Amino acid sequence: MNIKVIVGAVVIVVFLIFGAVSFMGSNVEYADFGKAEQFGKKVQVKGVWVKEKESRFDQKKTQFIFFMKDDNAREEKVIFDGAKPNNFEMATSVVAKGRYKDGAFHATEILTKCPSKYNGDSTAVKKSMQ
Amino acid sequence: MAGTICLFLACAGGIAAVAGYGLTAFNKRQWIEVGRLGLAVSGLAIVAAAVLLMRDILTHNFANAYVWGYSDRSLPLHFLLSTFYAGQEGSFLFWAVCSVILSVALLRYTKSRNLEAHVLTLFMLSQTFLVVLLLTRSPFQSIWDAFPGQLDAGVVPPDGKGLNPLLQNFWMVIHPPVLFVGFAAMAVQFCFAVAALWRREYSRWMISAMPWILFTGMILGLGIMLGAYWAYGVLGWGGYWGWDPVENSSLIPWIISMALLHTLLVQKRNGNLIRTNFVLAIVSYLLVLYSTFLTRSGVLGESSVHSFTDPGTMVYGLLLAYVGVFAVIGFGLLLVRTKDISPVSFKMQFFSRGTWLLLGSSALLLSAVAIFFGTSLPLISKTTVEPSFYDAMNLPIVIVIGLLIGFSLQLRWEEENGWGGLKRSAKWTLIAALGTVIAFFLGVKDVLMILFAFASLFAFLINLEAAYLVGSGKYATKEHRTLGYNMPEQVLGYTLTYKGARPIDDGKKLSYAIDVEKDGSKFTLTPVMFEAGQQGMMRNPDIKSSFTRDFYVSPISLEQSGAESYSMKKGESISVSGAEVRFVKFDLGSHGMGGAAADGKMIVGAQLEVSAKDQKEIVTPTMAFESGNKIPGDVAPSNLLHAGVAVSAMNIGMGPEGSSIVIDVVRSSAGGAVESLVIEASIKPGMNLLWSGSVLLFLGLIVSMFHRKKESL
Repeated sequence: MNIKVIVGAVVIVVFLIFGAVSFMGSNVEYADFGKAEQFGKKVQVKGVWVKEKESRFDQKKTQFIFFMKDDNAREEKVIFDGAKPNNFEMATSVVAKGRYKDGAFHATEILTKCPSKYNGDSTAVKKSMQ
Repeated sequence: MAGTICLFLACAGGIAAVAGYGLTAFNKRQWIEVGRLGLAVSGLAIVAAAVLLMRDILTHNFANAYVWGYSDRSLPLHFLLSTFYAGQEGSFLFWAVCSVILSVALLRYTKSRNLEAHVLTLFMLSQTFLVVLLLTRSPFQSIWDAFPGQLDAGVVPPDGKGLNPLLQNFWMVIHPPVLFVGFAAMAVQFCFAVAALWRREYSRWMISAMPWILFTGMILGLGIMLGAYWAYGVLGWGGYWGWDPVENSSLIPWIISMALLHTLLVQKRNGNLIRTNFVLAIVSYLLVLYSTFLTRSGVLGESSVHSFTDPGTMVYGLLLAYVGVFAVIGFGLLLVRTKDISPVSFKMQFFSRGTWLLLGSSALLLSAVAIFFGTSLPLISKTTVEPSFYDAMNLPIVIVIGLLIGFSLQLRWEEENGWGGLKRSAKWTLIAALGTVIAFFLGVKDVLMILFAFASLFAFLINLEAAYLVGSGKYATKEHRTLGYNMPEQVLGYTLTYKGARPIDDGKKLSYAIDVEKDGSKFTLTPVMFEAGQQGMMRNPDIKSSFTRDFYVSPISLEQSGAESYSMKKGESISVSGAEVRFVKFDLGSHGMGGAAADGKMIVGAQLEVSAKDQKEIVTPTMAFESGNKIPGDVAPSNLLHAGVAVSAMNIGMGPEGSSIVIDVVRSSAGGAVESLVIEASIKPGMNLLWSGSVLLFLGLIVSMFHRKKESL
């Protein structure tokens, strides 16, 4: 019985420590561009795509470059390793994961949030009437 | 209207069933007919509602907001059928239909085993909750109610919005329904466990529950793997498992179910672990409900690729209540009965199969806990974890599980000391890699093990799968590359040559032929890309499978080769291959009508001054805008640059930064523009092992299910 408890406790403690360590290494916080610049570590920033500014694909580096405005209305250039994400045009907001370096946000992953089919999507109904 | 009436009827029938069966369970036998009637009414009404929705879909009744929102006239029949569960409302209705089918099967099954009243009280309560959800978020809402003030009453849109192109493929037709059958079936083990607590029959319940648990594990596992294949082979997400919250939340209850199967075997044999099994059976279903809450309430809005936006506070509250009510029923009853359950102190020898099965289940639970923590993290803090967290956590667990499986199969239920097991497994330990497989096949010959072999088949495969889940992700290599037309390129040891694009599907999509050569063998891969209206670019990969690894090619974009991009501010000069290019100003006038053309297009030119040596010229490439969207304008030829100049972005700035543009200088030696294809190529090892493991797992669970079904009579 005692041995069982000790072995169990040791296993759980080891697991917790191991979990905490791998958690520290893979935890990504939400931040805005200001914080991203300040921390310099990997964060995720939510914002909207600034459609008026340049957005292009650099085929040599296979990077997609666009401008994003965060919740504090700060605009930054985002350099994403990959092509323009699916559903990018219709996204209501964009979440970019990466780090801020040398005046630009270098993203490794981009999530696009698409508008709900119903909520506030009134133009679509009107459009489909034409 | 008729649909809504059906839903109200289903709700009333459900309440009658819960009441009737509930009273029967409290020894008022005369109420059983009310329970059965309620079950029948609820079931028929739900099926009728489903038929009505299907009719609306098939007849293109766009007065129904759901039909309008998810389908259109152009969809072929199989996709049209799949729009039934493309949205939240329809998928809940689909879930309810699965529940109805299961309730009929359960009625037959429990009648002969004298469990009908208790099990069905609980099951019908769950079904009624689904119906209440459907009443708040109805698939029968009319388009005029859904968009008040947007449409005149009685005016029906001529066509619908259509189905998301990402969902328009074969896997959409089968993956979601299979998954929903699994979700609905997860309720059954909860009902059996809680009914057992209710009836104070703590020891024998698992014999009747076992075939159901195996069925659930099989069907949910199948659903998960179909989704994985969809993501891998079609959606081009580059992998089959991304540790996305939606993926995780169907995986966690499945892992718990698998752990439960093992601990149930221990209880069946030794009589201990009674409370553990109750907890696991209750928790597995609560996790399905929790998963529904996570993915349908909008709480994970920002951390999932499966986007479900906020369905409103009503649904949020109801989903929360759904989880809460079943948690209170399950754990409440367990708490009330806990003193009544006389603990069976079975002294398990360390080197007995029981102990090792328990260890295996514990390892599975640890994995579930780690995934649960990572998935739920966004709820409690404003952070998320990277996929690497799940990989790191599961790798050691999987290794442990692998060792446990190899060894536990060699152990008997009662073992005097460890030597027997060690001796028997020694030679297999030596053949480390094959050991697990062979141990299984040997195990079948032992009489005692025949019973267990069925159950252990999947245990072995969980291990296999999980190992590759982690392993192949780790050893996959990928590379981005631009393939010039007809220009062989070396990528990851393969020689790739881009051979041009070909329209497929009536010209709606483009298929890109890439000749691949490696060690003398030649084949052609044809990934597909297509512009899907508002949804942007869709990319389908193509895969060449060999026995040990897959070669995976995703298209990224098609580019004009030789194009160089330059970003410049107004008034600024840059040098382009020996020449100076200066951005003079925007030119709104030279294209007539002050930039705004009659057809609503607006054309803006960028005046560039190109100077080389003593020569100067002005070129004005243009860009066009149509209702706010950029569309390509004219490419201006430049003699001095020997190239075409195009504008790919414009920023007409008022602020301190001023105006800026991005130009593409397109050079082509042969006169016409030459295209090149940008791809992402990767090598994924062990994929065949993963898929064949999944198939074996599925078959193993089926065999086991029939075996346990016979046993339960």
